[in-house]
Amino acid sequence: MTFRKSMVIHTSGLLFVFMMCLASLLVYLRAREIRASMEKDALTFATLTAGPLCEAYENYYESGYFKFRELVLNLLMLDRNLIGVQIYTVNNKKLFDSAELEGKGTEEVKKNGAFYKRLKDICPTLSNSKDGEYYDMVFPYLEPWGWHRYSVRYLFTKKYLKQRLRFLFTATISLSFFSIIFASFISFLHTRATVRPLEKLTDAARKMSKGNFDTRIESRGRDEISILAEAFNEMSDQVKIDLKMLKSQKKILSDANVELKRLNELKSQFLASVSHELKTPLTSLKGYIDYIAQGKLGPLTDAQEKGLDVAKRNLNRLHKQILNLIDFSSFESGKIEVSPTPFHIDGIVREAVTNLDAKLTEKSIVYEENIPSDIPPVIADRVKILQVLENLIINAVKFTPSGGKISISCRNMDGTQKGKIRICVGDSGIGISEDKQKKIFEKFFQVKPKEKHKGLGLGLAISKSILDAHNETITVNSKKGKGSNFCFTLPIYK
Amino acid sequence: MKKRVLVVDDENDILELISIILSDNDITVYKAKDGLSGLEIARKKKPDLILLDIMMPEIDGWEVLKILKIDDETRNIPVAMLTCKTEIKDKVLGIQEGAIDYITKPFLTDDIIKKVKNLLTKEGKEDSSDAIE
Repeated sequence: MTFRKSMVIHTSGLLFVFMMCLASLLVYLRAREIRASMEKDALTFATLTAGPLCEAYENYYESGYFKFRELVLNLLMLDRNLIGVQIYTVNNKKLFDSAELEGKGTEEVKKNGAFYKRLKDICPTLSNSKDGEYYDMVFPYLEPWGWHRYSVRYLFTKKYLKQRLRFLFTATISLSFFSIIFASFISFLHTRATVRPLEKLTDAARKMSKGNFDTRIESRGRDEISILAEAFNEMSDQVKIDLKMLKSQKKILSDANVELKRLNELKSQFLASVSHELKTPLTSLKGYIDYIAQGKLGPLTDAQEKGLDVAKRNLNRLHKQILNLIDFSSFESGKIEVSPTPFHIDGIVREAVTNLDAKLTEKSIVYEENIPSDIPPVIADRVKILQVLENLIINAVKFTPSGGKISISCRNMDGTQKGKIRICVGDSGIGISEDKQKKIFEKFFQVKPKEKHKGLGLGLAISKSILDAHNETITVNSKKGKGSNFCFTLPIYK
Repeated sequence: MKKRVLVVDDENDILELISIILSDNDITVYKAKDGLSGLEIARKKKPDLILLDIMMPEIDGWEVLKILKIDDETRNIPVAMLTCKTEIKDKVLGIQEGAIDYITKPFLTDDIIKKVKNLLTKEGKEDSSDAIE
């Protein structure tokens, strides 16, 4: 239901109830007043006419009937409500009835009825007729010396009273209805005047929502709606300005995005070129050194073999660093691609440890492994997880003094076959202070950059990127001087 | 009969290295320094396997692979891509285009020997099974 309809219906309804109550009260009070006035008039009429009528009866009824008749007719004409006059003795004998003047029969009165008592009463009494059509008044006529000889009965018709009351009722109710209709019409006009600006506001808001910010709303005067319209116009102007600004910013962003895409493309091409340019000479170097070291191009002396070993080791180091750089650049570009396959964690741990065995032996590091035999297989990118494990072991070796200890442990986190496996690489190395623990997964961060632990500071950043790509986490638990424990999770293969 | 492998790579050193390694393992090696000469040798000699580098000037490895797979004379020659690229999408693309394997640079000599021998054996078996059918 619209606001306008609701307002008109509510106002009219309330007004109807109020006006009807008021009209009923008015009719009731006025009717009472009219009745009281008529009764008073009847009493006054009886007071004034009872004495003369009784005396006229005594003087003229027997001797001059026509004169008496004329007198009674004149009396009846005095009040249009008066329809009959009767004269009784106090002993209930009817002496005269005005009906006889019109040739009608007279009513018999029971001797012991209530009327008889009224005839004897020295006070005037007023009652309603049985059919409620007229007032019945009995007025005593007392002689000047106090003798109650006659009682005069007046019959006043209610016909005119009822007519008046009916007219009063009809007029009041009609007036009330007209008032209600008029008030409803006024309410309608007023509501329309109130609602129309709101409808304009709604229309303008709709147009605005469709992108038309040139819409204006007329505001006249200083009422609330006009203030609202002004505020709306101001808002529209502001939105227009903001939108213009947003559009220009969007264009800047869009241009920047295009530029970024172009730069990213250039970066990718550059990476591919770098990868090719670095790996190509490395391939020849590694291939030849490997082939020569195998003695395939002629026998080698011990010194040559030793020299080739050093060359091979450093070539491998260079290869790893190049791979790390290329990997990290790819990860930075959001290009991490993982191809998950199921595998057993113990196999990959052994592979990583075998690959790095030389480093462990070099520093006489004790290696401990705690992988339960019933550990379920995991699903992840095997090559990349091997890279993570190698990075963690290389880090552990780097920061553990000679003769120290490195351990790798695995645990099924919730003991079911549906959860995750937690893999931890711990060491008894120098540890990491709490403030640095937050930064160690950042690129190029090094715990002790100026000391002998050299590197690019990419290993942990790459490991974290790889685990992020798997939607898995890596955490560190360490205390300065008491070693570190790096743990990551992998999903169990279901 | 000696197996024959065509190596296509713009890097002379790598070409020589692979040539030495494979020759030592009783494999005849044809060398091509670019895609066009690689295609020509492939048509003429019909080797048992082609090791094809991807990043080459003029026409790259992908183009060479496409032409090899279109040409009726060379369609059935197995091709292994030889490249520095390690991204999965490159590997997938290679397989989709018809390559049978992917050898990443740098490689260890033992690894490339094993891989080439394995591919030659596998292809030989498939050929003989085709012949029986």
